[in-house]
Amino acid sequence: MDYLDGVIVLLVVLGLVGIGIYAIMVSRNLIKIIIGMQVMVKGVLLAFVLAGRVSGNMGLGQSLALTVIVVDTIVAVVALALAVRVRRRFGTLDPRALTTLRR
Amino acid sequence: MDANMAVIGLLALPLVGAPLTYLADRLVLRRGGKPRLGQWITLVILLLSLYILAIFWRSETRREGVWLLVGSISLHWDGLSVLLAFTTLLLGSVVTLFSGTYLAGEKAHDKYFPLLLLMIGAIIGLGASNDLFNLWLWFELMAVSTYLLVAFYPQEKGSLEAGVKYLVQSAVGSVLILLAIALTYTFAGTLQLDGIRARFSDLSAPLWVAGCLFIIGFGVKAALVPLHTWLPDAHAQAPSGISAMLSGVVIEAGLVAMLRALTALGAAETHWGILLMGFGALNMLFGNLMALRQHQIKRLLAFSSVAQVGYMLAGIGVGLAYQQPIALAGGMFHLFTHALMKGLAFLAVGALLYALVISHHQHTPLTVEDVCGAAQRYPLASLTLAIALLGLGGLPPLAGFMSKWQILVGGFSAQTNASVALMIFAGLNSVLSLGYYAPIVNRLYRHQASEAVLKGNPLPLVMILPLLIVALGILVLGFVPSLMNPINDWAASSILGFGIR
Amino acid sequence: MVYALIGVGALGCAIAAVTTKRLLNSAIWLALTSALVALEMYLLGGPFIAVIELSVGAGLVTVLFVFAINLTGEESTPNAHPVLKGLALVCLLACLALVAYWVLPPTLVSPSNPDTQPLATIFWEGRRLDTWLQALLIFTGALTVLGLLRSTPQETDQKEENPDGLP
Repeated sequence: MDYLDGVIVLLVVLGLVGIGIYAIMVSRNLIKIIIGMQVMVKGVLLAFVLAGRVSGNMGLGQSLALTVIVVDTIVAVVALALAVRVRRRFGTLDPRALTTLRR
Repeated sequence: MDANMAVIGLLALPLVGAPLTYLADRLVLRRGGKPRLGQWITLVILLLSLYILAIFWRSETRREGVWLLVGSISLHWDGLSVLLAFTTLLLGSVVTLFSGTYLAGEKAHDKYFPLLLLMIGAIIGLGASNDLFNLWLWFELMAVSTYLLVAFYPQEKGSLEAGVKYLVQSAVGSVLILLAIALTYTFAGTLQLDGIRARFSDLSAPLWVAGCLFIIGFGVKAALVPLHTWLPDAHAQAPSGISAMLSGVVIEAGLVAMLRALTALGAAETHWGILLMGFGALNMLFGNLMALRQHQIKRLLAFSSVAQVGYMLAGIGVGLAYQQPIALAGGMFHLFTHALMKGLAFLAVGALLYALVISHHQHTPLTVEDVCGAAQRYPLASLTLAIALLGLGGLPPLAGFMSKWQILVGGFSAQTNASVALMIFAGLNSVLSLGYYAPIVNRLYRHQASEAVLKGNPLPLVMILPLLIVALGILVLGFVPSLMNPINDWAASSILGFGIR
Repeated sequence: MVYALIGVGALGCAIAAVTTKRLLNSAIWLALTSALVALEMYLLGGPFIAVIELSVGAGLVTVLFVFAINLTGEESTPNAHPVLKGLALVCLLACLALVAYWVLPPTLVSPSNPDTQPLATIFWEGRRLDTWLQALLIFTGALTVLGLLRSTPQETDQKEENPDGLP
């Protein structure tokens, strides 16, 4: 891997994170928001593998990425459970319907 | 028991206790009993942890702190860890004592105490971690353990709404933290906090980016102002015991985690300090202005937490920017007194909420009008609420005044325009905050009893007892603030003297 | 060059995942993104993590999404306001450009030293505290999901007279 490849992977990382944030900002559906969160996580996973490669300790990079996969899958499961609950109670997944507390 | 064993016990006890608590409650439920066992196991575990902390405090080797090595991950038990653990365990025990009756009749009762223990264990570990990635993992454990506690009544719309906002915002924040960790690791080549500090000794671009991402990511949990929008909903909707924990220690744990990460990027310490001072001013002003507009008491208290975080940020910011240990110790002291005062305020409001609303099997919020004249029927709950509110407002003989005073002294002794201006601003804000604390006290004591108060049920002693314990603590600290000095000073010096073994 | 091709593919799939109207298609695009990210990881020299990402990220998570979409039902997602979208995009691009400009200049050194330790040793030995915490997180997550999806008597009552329920 040369310098240019590292830069490209870093740009892909930033791109994935950016696309995820964009989705979270504009989505009108809770599940879409969770998908956005997952896209961000993909970017971060790639960042950890890249970090392992650059610092020459691939084992550590992979180990960290593995931990991130486990943890963020748990968060995704909890978020989906919450979304299911919201759909049952509010009858919609649109976050704009969640305004009972706003004033 | 030596200091090392004590630290291992402190880290392990709550986390090992959580599954046991759940198991015990499930067994009791299976037999058809009432799940009260979990509460008592939790209380015993927390009191035991406090005892272990006392053993550590009295051991002779404590001053150097304790270094633990688990595999390749190191943990450093220093002053900041002690302060955070002490605050968390103290408030946690009181909340546990309080919560049993409050939750009676809730179906998810058996999950409450295990999650509470996990949260407490995660916060204790977070304070001790010396590995950036490990720090994030403790932080995430704390976050995940609070999701259900915030959305504890999933049949209520408000509860679900608060849960969704909280989860989405803190999950995004945590991904940004991960990105910052990956960046730091890419360019520093190590995850050890002291190692990073040594490698990043010059002001390079990745350091700035990582630091900003840390501030944004941890700032979501610590409720820095543009990132605070989840806080009023989550704190108002959670069961009152959890509101107390969230306001009293969880946002402060976010702050401590941010401090750990930022001091690792210590080459830019002055800049981080000035940035935190700016956020402090913003938090104070915004939190106070929003709190002035609130009618629901728990929402009002939630916004006042935003403002109180501002004082901590001011103290910590001045401490970091101008290397002022007094201001930093003041910030740490305020972290502790705020945990006591805001914890007490939420618990006292929770007691009134229980008597007036929940014991009628309802879930409506408590408004300012509802508590009018509550002192006539609930003298002790009202008295403790008044003590907490006046302490938060910074009236002289109470603990809140002492900690704010120490921050002011620190800010003035830095003798720079920025810090002096910030301190004057903080003093003015403190006066402003009385504009919403004092009317509540006035309503409690000088108004006619409201309809809700007249229809209220009596309060059980087990709910009043924890209130009295914390109120006593606030009074004692108000008269003898020097009791906390050793811990505060140690915490301040372990932030400033970072990396010195 | 391969890195760039796969990276552009992953970014394209991600954009498709967040812009597609149907949720099910969105989940499938996410799985594809995941697969391409896994390929990139493999090229970077992480075969193990690539396999895990392929099975968990592209497999398990997709199954979870499909499951959740089945439970909630497809719902036509209203479009966000175009002004909001444009604003979000501009802010984001500006931020990303700034970050990229700041981060990129320093040298991304190629690794010279080979793997110091095998992954299994690092995961199970060196970072065993992380592994224990993961176990606790799984326990916490299970408790949370159980608590969130428990049946509450009040809700079934309200559902019959639910004024804001399904059309």
